[in-house]
Amino acid sequence: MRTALALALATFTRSLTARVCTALAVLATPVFATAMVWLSRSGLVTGPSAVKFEPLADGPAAVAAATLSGQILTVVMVLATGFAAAWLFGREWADGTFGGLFALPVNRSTVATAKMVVLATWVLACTLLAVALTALGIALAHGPLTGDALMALLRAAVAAALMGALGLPFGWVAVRFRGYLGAVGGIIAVTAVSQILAGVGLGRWVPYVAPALWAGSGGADAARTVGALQLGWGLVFAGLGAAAAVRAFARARLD
Amino acid sequence: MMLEIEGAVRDYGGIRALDGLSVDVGEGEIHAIVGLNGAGKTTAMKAVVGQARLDAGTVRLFGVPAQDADARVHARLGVTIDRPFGYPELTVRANVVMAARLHGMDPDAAHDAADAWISRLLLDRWAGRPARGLSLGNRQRLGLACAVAHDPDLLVLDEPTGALDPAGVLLLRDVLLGVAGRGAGVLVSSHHLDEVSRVADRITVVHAGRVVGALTPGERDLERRFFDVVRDWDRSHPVAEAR
Repeated sequence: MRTALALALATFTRSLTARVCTALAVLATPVFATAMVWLSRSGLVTGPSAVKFEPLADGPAAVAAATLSGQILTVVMVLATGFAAAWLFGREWADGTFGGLFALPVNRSTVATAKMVVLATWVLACTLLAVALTALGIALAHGPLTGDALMALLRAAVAAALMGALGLPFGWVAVRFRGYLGAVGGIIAVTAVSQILAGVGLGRWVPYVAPALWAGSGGADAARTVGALQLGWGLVFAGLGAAAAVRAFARARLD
Repeated sequence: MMLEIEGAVRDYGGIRALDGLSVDVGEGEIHAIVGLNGAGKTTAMKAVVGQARLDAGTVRLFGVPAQDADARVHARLGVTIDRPFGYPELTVRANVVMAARLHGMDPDAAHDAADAWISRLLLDRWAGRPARGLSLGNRQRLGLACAVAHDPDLLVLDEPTGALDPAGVLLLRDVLLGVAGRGAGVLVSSHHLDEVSRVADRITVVHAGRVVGALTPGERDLERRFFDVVRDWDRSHPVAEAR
């Protein structure tokens, strides 16, 4: 496993896709959550946009920014992890490197498991870093973090880590379609279908929607409809998807 | 025997890529298989490492059925088929180190082996650069370094001279002689009778997915003999030729 981890880490850390995804996952949330709440209270936003910003102007600024961070980070993490997983698995076909992984003492199941371990660790690291930077940004822009703001940030971290984990199954799509383009299509399709199901009120049972609802994307009432059962189902779905990716990678051939 | 392929059959949607092909490689032997494009050479090699499955027939590695081969068997194998090993974002050195580690070498030994083979294959200038910047010929040299860095007992090389310049071909020839000289077996394929085929102990002609003849290494006018063997087989098997 050590060698497989070394390979996955070496390729992932040198990948442009991984670097772009890391920047997106870590920086987008602190910047947007802090700036949007500040803008909502600055008087600079006028016209139709002011209506959109109105909810952010209610209550303590730190709480509003922390709640908004959960809504942003959940979306960002599933997209960033989905693209990262699509690259890490799909590149073996796109770059023609898959053939070199046959008939080795380190089997393909171990190679794929190492990819998942690297991705899962990356999800946790990005989530923690993004939340820490968001906390810093809120403290600098809106003053000390209150108990409610800290709770909102904690909820954002849990929901974002779960949404990040839900990006792992896109590795399976990349393996099935022998490249990353199929997985990119899968990310778009899942996003669209999830939005439709959320729109008809089924969101809390959709793994790719429930964590975002719980983080406050649909408002406080919608957040209360999501509990351990729905979040647990999401975690199981992510685990099954990751396991399916490993199995498919181990069984794939080149004929 | 280091490698035995017996009665290999593989159909791709009605196109028979392998039609009972049997090839073996002994200890310290360089066995070249030559054939035109689509003859079945690459498919046979893919079957050796499990990249392709066989509809019928067997592959044995060091006497062990390929499907039962474990990590110890695979550690004795060095392969480059279709595309040479090499992750574009890793440096040349990192790629060779990684290939050696994937074949079971410990990190220190892998670094030493990588340095030695990079030097031997004249890749020093590019050792610290990402593999994506290499020319096709140097990528092929990198793939060779990755296949031999762990001192395999069986080397399987598919069209290893395709993009090499004359100097690279001579380097490859010396590597193969060195590998065979220490007792390892070599199976090497080519679609033309190049320098590598000429240093082989055996030259087998593969056509239409099967062995159709043999050439004697060192005999005069190998190229003409090769086409004679292929044409003779086509004349005597008109149905198979049409298929």
